[in-house]
Amino acid sequence: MKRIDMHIHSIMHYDEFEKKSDIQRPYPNTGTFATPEELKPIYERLGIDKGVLLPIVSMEGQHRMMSNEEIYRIVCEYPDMFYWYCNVDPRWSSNTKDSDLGYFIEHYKKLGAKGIGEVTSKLAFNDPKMKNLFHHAQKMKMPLLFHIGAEQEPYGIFDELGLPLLERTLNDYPDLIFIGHSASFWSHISKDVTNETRSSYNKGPVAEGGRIPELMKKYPNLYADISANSGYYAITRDPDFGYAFLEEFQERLFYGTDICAPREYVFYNMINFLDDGYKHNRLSKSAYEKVNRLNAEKILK
Amino acid sequence: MKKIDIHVHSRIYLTEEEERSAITRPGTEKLTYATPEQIKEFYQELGIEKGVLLLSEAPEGMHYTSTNQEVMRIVRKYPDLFYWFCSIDPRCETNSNDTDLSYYINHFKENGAKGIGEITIKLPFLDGRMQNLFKHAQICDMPVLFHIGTDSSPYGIYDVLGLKQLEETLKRYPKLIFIGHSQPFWAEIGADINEEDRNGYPSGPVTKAGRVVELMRKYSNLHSDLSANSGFNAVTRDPDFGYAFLEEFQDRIYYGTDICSARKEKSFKLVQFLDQGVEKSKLSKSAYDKICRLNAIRLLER
Repeated sequence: MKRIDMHIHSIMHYDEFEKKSDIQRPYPNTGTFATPEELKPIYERLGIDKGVLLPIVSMEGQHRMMSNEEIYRIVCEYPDMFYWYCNVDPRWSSNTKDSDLGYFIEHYKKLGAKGIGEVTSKLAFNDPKMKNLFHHAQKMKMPLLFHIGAEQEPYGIFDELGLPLLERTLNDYPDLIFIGHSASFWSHISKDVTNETRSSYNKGPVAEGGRIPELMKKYPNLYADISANSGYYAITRDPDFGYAFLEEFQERLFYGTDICAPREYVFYNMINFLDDGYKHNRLSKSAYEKVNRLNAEKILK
Repeated sequence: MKKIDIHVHSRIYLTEEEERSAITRPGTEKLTYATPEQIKEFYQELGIEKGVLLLSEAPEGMHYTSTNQEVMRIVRKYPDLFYWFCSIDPRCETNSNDTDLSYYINHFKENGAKGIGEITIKLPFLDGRMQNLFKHAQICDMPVLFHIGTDSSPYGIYDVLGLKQLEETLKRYPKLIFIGHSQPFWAEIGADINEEDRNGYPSGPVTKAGRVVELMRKYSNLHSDLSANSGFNAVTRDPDFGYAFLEEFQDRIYYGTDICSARKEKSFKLVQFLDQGVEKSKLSKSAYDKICRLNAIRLLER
């Protein structure tokens, strides 16, 4: 069964000059986002059929923006390879708590966007402008995929240790599907997370009683993508726990990559973890298929 | 003499579908940035040879995300119509006070950008990240063109009434050219304003010179653009005062339009105001030439 990648970024150039003159990340070997052509062989290798392109419209922590228009352009050119989410920064338009963000969401929904994200704006979950975005997303029935950031992180919706603001948000917008992601999200899979470890890829056994399992049990509107090193380490650091977690929340987890450059990543091994789990009866067929593809198909309908 | 427009925005569509599906500003008029072809027509009418494409990637107040990559694409396609400034948001990368913003500025400078702007980020001038941007702009010798905002503006670098944070910044970066713009900037051409007037277009005689005049006298690194209704209103509300202002600061003022859509603006009449100034001997030929073109050429063709 071919996988669906719930979390991917891409850019497109029209000629060699554009490619050569595009801005790269300032760190060695980090490059810039992959083009669809660069993603193709990686998707082939990982057994991915189609990905969900996520624009970036908030400059916090980025080296380059990816506008909704650029992403829509890619989707028009590669309709068999991508779905897309639009992105909306809550500071757009009047930059107030009552800006009509539904106007933007509706526009892009009509163009085929299936959700909103990756939301990376560095505002708190309870900032009135952020709440306005949740309000409009819920009204428009558009799932919202988000990156959580701690105070010291350059980007991501801010929450405190223990994710109390996310919990209040899940409670306040019960009909909105929230898709969690990022190191500061996944580090809360384990109860022993601290302010020092919350932004890291933590390893070793998971301490029972973490906030992610707790919130997922309590709030049926909390979903999660297992993309990037953050998702990979969260699920694989304690394999028994990881497989049990996938099994328990099989209806609300999505396979994803978060490939941000055409290079090697540790998280490419996620497919082996999933495949091995299925082969060795540690992961049911139903959970395996839902996480790899069926949940995505359902939400992207 | 053909004018140079120091302040214009644009977007392009690569396909018909892109044009059909373009997001516009909320509201019944369905406006968005003008295309280069639409700008060409306005330029013909206003006697403009070339404009400086400005963009901001900051989300505050936006309806559409312009990117450096898109503006570079436009300039490549219309090299005889545009220069360009790049967008640098100091919240990029590490989102801290010590991000190496020179890396980004130099990249775009090497690709032809002549400055940075329009800066519309809603952070105070004295925010550590904004100060970091000014520091790197000065190191890279790239002028900054900025929009000032108040507490109630959706966008613009925040300053208090009296522009005290701008003054402190002008002092700290004496070699950086600051090009001022926006209502809260131009409202301070007269001393008689209060907090409520800052986002408007104060009218009538300027009875006492305001902070903009004072700051331009005191700091030779403060320049300004006359674009938009804000610039137009500031120099025309009291014609005698306006012409004297243009005369006094003739070396640091730039003609501009701030065309933001394919709609004619009241501020287009600035052309007549300038022309009439020369005709009525209220504005010297030298001031006229510098403001309309020569100052821009000096800044852009360094």
